[in-house]
Amino acid sequence: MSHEAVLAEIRPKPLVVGEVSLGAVDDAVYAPMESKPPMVWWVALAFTSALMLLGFALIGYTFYEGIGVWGNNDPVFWGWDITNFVFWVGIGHAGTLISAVLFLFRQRWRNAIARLAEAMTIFAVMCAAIYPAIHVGRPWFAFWLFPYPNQRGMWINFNSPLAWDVFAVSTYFTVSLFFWYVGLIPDLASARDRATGKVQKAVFGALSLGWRGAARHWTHYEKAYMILAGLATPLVLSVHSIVSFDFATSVIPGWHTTIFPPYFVAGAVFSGFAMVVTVLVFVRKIMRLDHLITLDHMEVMNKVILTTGSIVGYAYGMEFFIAWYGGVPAEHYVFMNRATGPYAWAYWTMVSCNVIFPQLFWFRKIRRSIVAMFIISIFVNIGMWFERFVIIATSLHRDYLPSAWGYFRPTLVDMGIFAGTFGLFFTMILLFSRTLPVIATAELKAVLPGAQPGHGGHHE
Amino acid sequence: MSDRPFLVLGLFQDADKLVHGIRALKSTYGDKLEAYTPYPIHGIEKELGIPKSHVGKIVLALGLSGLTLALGFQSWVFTTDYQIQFGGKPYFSWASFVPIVFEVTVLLACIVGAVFGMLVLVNKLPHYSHPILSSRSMPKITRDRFALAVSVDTAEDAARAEAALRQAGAPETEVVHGTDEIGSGPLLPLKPVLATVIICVLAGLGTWHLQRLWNKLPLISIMDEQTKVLPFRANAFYPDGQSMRPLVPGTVSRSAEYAAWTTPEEAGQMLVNPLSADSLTLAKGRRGYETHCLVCHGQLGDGTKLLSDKYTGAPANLHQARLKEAPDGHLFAVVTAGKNTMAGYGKDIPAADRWAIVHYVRVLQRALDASDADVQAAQAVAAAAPVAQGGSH
Ligand code: HEC
Repeated sequence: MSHEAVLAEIRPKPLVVGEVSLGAVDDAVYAPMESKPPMVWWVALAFTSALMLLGFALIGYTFYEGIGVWGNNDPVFWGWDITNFVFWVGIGHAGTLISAVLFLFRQRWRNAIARLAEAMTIFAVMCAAIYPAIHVGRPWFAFWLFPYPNQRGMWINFNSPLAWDVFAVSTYFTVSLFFWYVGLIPDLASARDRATGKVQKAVFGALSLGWRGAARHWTHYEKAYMILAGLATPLVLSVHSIVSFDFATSVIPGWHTTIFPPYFVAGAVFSGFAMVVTVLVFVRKIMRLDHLITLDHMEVMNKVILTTGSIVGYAYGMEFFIAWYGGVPAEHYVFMNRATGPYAWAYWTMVSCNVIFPQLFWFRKIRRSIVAMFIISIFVNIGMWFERFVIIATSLHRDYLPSAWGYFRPTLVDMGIFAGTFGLFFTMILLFSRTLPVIATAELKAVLPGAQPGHGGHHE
Repeated sequence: MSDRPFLVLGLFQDADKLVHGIRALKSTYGDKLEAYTPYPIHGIEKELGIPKSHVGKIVLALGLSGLTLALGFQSWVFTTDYQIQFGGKPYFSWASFVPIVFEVTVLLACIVGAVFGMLVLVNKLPHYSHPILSSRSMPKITRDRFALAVSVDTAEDAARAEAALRQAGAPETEVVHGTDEIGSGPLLPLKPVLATVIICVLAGLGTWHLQRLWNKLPLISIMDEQTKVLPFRANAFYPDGQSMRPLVPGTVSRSAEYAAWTTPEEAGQMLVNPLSADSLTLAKGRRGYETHCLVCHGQLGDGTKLLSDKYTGAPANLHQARLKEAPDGHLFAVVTAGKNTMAGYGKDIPAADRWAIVHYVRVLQRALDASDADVQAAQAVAAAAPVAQGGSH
């Protein structure tokens, strides 16, 4: 790389491509909400909602027949349901990370993608929350998970990581939802003022709470937003840590390790960013937002994928090292079995998808190639799903007595429900992209050149 | 809505010009200035003299209450209300309370503190009737214009403010009429509370009705309708229509006793109580009697049944002379095989316990018309061992 190229690399990049005026941001972002959706959108929606309905139908079937219609059976009682739960919760983490952690670190490039990433968080956590609820078999009793005074005179077990999970995931969902909503309020006000239809005006008007952009309001708003970001940051770290406690506090070899919390968090960020890249590749093109969600943004995200992917790779190695170094034969066996046993195919799929392919992002060309990043992001999604599957299935399928060994095979119902959550996720994304501003316009405007006083420039 | 002038807006094209405008008007209007902008402008709060936000304090207070609530609640449940050992941990195992304490702290701090506190308590939103919302300038403000607003009371004020704004460089101005009072009346602050109460009551009633329906829904009640065999129920599967199967003829129980006698009288001749009446045996006998016999024969064995009148049998008075004189074997045989309407207990009570019960029946018989010597002996025993064993005499 030449001297200039190095300088170009480290100099702060403009956050949008070309000269963009404040009004033009609005015009670009609100255009999809104000026009009729194109044919592709309808086709996509038909496809995703069909998947979603298939998933719901199969969930209904599960309720009717019982969870015996899944592949879960002795000794693998946690199958695809918990795998998918962890997978979807993990995906959600990118949104909070982008909106909260990067906000605290003053990474202003986040402003263009934060809204979409937060929306993804919410949708992903919705998909995730389905699984524990249907896994209990009788979901209409799901409220038993919460401590409420009851005739049975019982309380939930506060010492159980499964109870912690209930609190962590529901807190996470609520906070993400409100964080997202607070960010939306100024944009909803813009939408209200742009709206021409009566219904739109009423809906946006009600949702924007009568926001009027007063300087006094902004002062408190910014303070609250910063506090929310500050609290959401430890929250997001706690959520996947607690999810990992579901495994780590048990005494199953292969689960009982102290590396799980940080390893799960890194994995969550890794998979979440991959999903954000997957979705953004389409959204920015189809919605013509590539001058606002720039290639530079995508490149930075690929760097995060590279970093977290390397952390995850390190964790895989470290697990093996500790299994050997710790000298516990059961643990040693589990890990050897993971890499060479009946699930070796899943293990090596995971390793190649998560550790090997993302390393290609060391090359700038690949980091900036839409096709390459799309393919790698898909690989990461696959790999991270397999990571959860490998952790769950390989640790359980060889019980302590060889007579109790088994092999987990998913059923069509398992697969259909999983496909259904993808349907739900993308249906929500499609609906969101047409009904709400996908970019936080107020935030983006605030970082345009000349948007703040005293920066010179941008005088008409 | 009143028609008096309320605000005068001057629209600027960018943040720099807005700041210049504020500086120009600050000395004349001071507190009456407010800016309306599409996004937060940094440093503007200093120009306008807006004090630091106290949202942080609200959040802190809520966070601390979340912390106290969650820690206190979990401690109360596990140390006082619902003491259960989990994995050998102490009742107050604070470390495992931490995750939930943390989550609840964050939840209250964020949702109630930061979101509700900022929007509702501090910013007084929702506020749908603020006059600026229906002004011509509002769509421009949420898009790309920066408004400097002067609060005014009269038309003259408004004209003066308009001139000042124009002079400060605002190319566009607008006078907004109306008032920002949300309404009045003593009920106003209570309205949200009332609304919440009504919603809660409705939701509660709804749930109450729903849960009565709930268990009757086909999907939910499905577990009640299992195709398994329940004892003492009709069952169409078997030809005799009963769920319970009769024993195969000739079946002998592994614990079956061989009985050489046929009537209690015969048994009275043949059998001798193999147990000695020590206090342990009597305690056992008392237990057996109170478990199996008391409901019918009464606490004292006088035949005063505890059952309702629906039970029409007449349990014998065990103090009648015939039974007092009857040998132990007679009583044993009645307990084992039953008599007339009294069913036998041979299947339910092991033989040794039946003999112990017989001893206890003897105790009852003797106790009910005890001699003076018996009473004195009993008092002596009671004095020597204040905590008398049940069944001793
Ligand atoms: C369901 C009520 C019931 C229970 C329980 C019951 N009995 Fe009886 N018992 C009766 C009735 C009724 C009679 C009178 C039978 C008859 O018609 O002679 C009777 C009679 C007797 C007799 C007198 C037999 C005789 O020769 O006249 C004795 C002794 C006796 N029971 C002892 C016991 C003992 C000991 C138990 C506990 C193991 C017991 N019973 C439990 C209802 C009961």
